[in-house]
Amino acid sequence: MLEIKNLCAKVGDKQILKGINLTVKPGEVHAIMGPNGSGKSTLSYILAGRDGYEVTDGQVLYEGKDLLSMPTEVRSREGVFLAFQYPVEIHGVTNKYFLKAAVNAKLKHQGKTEMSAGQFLSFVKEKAKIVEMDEALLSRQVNAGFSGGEKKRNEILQMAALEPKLAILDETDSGLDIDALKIVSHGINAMRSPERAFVVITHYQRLLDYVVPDFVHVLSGGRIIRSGGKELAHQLEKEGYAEFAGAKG
Amino acid sequence: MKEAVLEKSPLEVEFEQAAPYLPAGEIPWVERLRKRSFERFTQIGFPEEKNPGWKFFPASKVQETLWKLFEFPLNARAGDLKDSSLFSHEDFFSLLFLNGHYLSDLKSPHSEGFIAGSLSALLKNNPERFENFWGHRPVGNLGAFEALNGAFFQDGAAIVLPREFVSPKPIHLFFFNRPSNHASMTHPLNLIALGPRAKAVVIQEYAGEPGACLTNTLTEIFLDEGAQLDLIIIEREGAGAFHLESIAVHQASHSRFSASSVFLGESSSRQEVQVELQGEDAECLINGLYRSNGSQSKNIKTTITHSKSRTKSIELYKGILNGQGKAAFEGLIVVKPEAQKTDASLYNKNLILSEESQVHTSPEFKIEADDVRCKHGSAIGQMDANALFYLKSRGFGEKEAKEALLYAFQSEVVNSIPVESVRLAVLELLSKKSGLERSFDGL
Repeated sequence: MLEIKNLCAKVGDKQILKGINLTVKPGEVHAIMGPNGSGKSTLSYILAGRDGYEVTDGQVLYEGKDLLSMPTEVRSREGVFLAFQYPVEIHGVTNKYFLKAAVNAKLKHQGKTEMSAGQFLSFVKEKAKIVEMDEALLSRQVNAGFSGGEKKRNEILQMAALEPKLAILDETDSGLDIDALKIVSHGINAMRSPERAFVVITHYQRLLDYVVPDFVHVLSGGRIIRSGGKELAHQLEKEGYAEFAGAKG
Repeated sequence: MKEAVLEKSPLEVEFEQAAPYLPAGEIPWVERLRKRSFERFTQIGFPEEKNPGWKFFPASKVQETLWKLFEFPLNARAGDLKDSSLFSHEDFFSLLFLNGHYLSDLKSPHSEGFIAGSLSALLKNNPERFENFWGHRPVGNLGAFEALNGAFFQDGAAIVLPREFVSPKPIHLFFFNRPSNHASMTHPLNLIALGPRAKAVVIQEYAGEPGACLTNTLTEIFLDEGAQLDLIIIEREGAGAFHLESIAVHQASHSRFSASSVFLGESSSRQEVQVELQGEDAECLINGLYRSNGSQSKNIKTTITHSKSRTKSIELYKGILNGQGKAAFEGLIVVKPEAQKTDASLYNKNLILSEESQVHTSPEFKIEADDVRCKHGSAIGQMDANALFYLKSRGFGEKEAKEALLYAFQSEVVNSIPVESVRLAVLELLSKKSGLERSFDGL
């Protein structure tokens, strides 16, 4: 589903990614862990198509197609989803409108019939239950005045509504208390399926207690320095990034 | 030998020729008001762009033009204007003015227990009633265009609500200009006076066909104790028009005034708002939206004076600049020494969509009391790149994402319009102007 080959990228003059290789197959959950500044968020932004990054070498294939040449919105409509570390507040646009437009953009892209307001409302209410989201938040402005936990739940709600093939979760656990973490994890787990792949980017291992990955990769200095199973996360947590990167990198 | 003759300005010639025919000229105080107003204008002359409060307004172009008063549109009927307005006249008490002249064949709501009608007609029948408002008006502090209005006014609306009277429908003033082959001007003068605890919604809609014309309107508002007025102003005049409006509000204690203005015309426009919070606990909410494309300019100047304690003002103007559009906002809040516990906020936010557009913003406070809560701010920015990326990452195309953010920016002001049908009409108008989808308010 996703093949990242020798991906190198820089921001301004600074080389951030120095040759990332990663293959993700449908149904798999990959965790990417690493210290601050290792390039985790850069990787997620490049995959989602944010401006400001220059890919200097390498290639990313998504379902065999060149992902990096697709416009941001086309990636979304083709089934790539990024859950933001810092979801953006959009004052003046309601959550419902935002979600409906997003879902209909995808349906239209797929040549399917767009949902009417009524159809969408019952659709989204079902989805909101997955993340135990208060329906009132649907009528509020996008993320405006939402608590940290509500924002992250809103990201998972968007994921549930868009039903992506590839979901990239960028530090979705950051800023969550334990209850919110459980709800968010439950939402993610409910979406796991043989057709859907996840790339879970996290600094800490605690999310991985709830969303158990098939593979764990350690990103450090712009490269994946180690890959392994879920036990790698525990080892990392115990030893710390500095020691780990020093000894094994 | 010829005598040296001082050359008269074209406006002076026009005033001399028109004065004998201007309405209510036979009433001494009206005649005096016109004369003194014109003298005031002659004394101060046209403002220049460099004057405070006039930045970007092409006053010199107004000065260079040979203006004639619009002539009375013979054979015009109110029905002719039916499709020109955004609104269906059944929903409101509508007063229609073509080229500044009142079209009288619609039913006037006199019989409903209040007055809403043509100022010139009411002035003729009952001059004493209006002498209190204007008969002793000092002209010394009038600006140039306000003075011109005082000299040249032909008609306008007079709305007078007695004590505790609540207008059953919004009152809609529709001013439509149909310019001819020479540059024509109109100077509507409106009076809105609400008795104690009376309540009304007034909509001022200005529109017109393209062509050289000047609308220079003055609206004087008196709110008695506990009175409530919601004023909605929609300006959508045609290309080639100059639109100037001056709104002066006098508020007694516990009165409440709200104004929601949208400037969407192809014209160069200027709005001046002066609110005097003269009684304790009076409050005003002033919202505005201006859009400037092409080579248009929009100029807003507001002054809110807090004279008594526990008065409140909330002001927000938002601007969208595109093409070579220009806009200037100058907002001033004055808090007098006896206005303790004043609560005031003043904000101006501008969204710049092109490199050639220009905006000037200046929110200012003059505070002479010590126990007050005042906040102000201004912003000039481009579309938020984070928000654009967020929308695109959810499948919004570039165009849709920008339109959604544009809509979001405007909605704060549009949502302050207290009448739903007007709010929806404004949304429709905005979406036409930007190609925006109407589906935004569908959910």
